[in-house]
Amino acid sequence: MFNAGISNELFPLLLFIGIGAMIDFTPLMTNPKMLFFGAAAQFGIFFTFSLASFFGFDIRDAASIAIIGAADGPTSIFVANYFDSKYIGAIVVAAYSYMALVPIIQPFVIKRITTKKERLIKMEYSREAVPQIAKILFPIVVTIIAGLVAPRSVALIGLLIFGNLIRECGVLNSLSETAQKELANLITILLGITISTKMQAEYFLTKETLMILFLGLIAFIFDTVGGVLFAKIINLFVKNKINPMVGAAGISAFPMSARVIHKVGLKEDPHNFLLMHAIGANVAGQIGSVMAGGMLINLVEKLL
Amino acid sequence: MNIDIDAFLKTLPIDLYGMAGIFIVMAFIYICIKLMNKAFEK
Repeated sequence: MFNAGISNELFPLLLFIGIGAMIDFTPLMTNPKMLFFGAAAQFGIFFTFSLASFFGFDIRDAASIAIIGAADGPTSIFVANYFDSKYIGAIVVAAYSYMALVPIIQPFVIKRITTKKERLIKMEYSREAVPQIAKILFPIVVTIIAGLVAPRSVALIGLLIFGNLIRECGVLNSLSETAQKELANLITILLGITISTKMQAEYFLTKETLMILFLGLIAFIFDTVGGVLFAKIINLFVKNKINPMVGAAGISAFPMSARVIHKVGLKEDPHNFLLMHAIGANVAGQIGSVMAGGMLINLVEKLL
Repeated sequence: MNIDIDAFLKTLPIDLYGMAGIFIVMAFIYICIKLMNKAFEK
């Protein structure tokens, strides 16, 4: 089953169809500057890549560990498998565990790097309608641009976008529903079973696993830090201030991170609705994380 | 764990190009969204 679904990258790619079908890019298209938060919140990946190399991991393993910061199971599996990392079991466990721990990690980090005044910044949301044709063209444009810049990411971004096209075309509703629910759930079950074959005691119960779990946490923390600090830097130059917490939503844990940021914002001020901004940054992070995976593969290959 | 400063230094250009590359892609996508919204505006 490992050869049938993981070695040939089939399972992560099929899962991405389901994820693409779940995503609504409308909040991003209404407020496209959120794209840059999706980029900034990938900082943790590259920070962890350098840190893992510093601690003596081989460069391929360091790249595979760093991609935990993509906060995206299929991308983590794709990159770790591409580099044939022997730590794929630990990497996947770390990636999925920390995605589930986003409601604990992100509020903790945000409160330590922002002030109360910054967390209270209100952001207006304009409800401009996005033309349907733009919603259909957008995924195609993203695939072309991503494919030209990082060809290695085309498989992932292409299937993410394919899933989104099934959703947005408006005439394949039953396929969209199937992709979002049955396909995603089936592949998740198969992924879990298959990855477990790489978690035999002699490979998994090692001090390197503990190090990987630590580095994965660092990746998530610095993703959050990257997004928030980027928002703070932007605020130095703009009149309409951005709530820095929205930067943290640029991590690719969709839609968990957006909901967490919205909740933290409501706790500070019950009249501050950050959800749509956070969703925009969150879906941008989905694109950003796939691009980061493709970039890592391209750049590390050149170094080898 | 072996500390490897050489390997760490080799990764720094990858970090820079990687982050720059993601920002450049997002900038292109941003421009495309603005153009599409303007072109298909009712």
